[in-house]
Amino acid sequence: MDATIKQDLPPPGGYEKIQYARNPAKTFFRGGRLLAGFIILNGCTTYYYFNHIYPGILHRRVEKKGSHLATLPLLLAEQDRAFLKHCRALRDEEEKLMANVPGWEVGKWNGQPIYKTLDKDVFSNPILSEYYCHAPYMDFYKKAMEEAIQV
Amino acid sequence: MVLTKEITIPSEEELTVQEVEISTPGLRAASFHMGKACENVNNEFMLCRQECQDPRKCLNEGKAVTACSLDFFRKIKKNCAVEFTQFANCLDRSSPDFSFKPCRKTQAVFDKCMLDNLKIERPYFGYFSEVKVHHTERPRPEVKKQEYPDAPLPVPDDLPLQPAKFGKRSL
Repeated sequence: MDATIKQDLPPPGGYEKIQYARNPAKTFFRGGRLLAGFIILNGCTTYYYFNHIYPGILHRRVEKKGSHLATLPLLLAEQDRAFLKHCRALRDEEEKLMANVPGWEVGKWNGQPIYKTLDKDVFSNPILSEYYCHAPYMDFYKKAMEEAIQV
Repeated sequence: MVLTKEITIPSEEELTVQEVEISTPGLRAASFHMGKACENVNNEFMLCRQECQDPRKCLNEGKAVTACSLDFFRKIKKNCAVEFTQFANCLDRSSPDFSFKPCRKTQAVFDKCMLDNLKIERPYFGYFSEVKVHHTERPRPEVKKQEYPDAPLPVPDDLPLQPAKFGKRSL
């Protein structure tokens, strides 16, 4: 055997240690600082919103509401008249439509009114489907959707 | 339908008056001055409407409201037509919701015209959102108390108590 053969061995002192632990870069925003930044930013924006932006919004809202309230009586008076006109037309239409049905009384079913405990001359609003009974269905549908949104 | 023959509904002629035919921008533009000019009539109508809860009983008040507003708009047409049209146009075209903010300049012109010609000042901010007390000649409508004929009699206070069945009254 030749004595000059050299065996492949670790360097003197051994190999370097393998680094397996995570070594993340140092960041500025950690725990407490992040929380402090969050609180400061939110506080500043909240202060700014309620002292500089919201008063303007409120001002415009109140002004618009005032404008609506000032015109409300005019619109309501007009609406009341149109409503009563339509109610009368509906009642006349029902009378004309059911003229050839024996024993039919307008606004009653078999001689019974809908609200029997009410006094003689108390006005009760017709429900929406009755109010729109001679109108196209889509008109009724639109109005119903409108009312559902408003409520 | 609910409406029987016994219920009186005013006839077509009673309900037909000259209406205020004006579009929303015009109504918005004149709203503050109109509310101020017709304040008494408006309050009377709204009080009546609130008290009676019946559209038939407040027709005359409503007609007065419409007549007052119509008269007011005629006055505007006579005295401040150009300024009014300008302001209404601005409201119509500056924003999708008739907001007053982009139209302060035209509003100032309109306000000045109204103050000079019709002596109506624009009410201060928040005027129509305030609570108002209205004094009226109209008597208060009677509120009928509902009576139930078969309602059970109230228990008298000195009704003798019977001895407890199961030892304690709380049981």
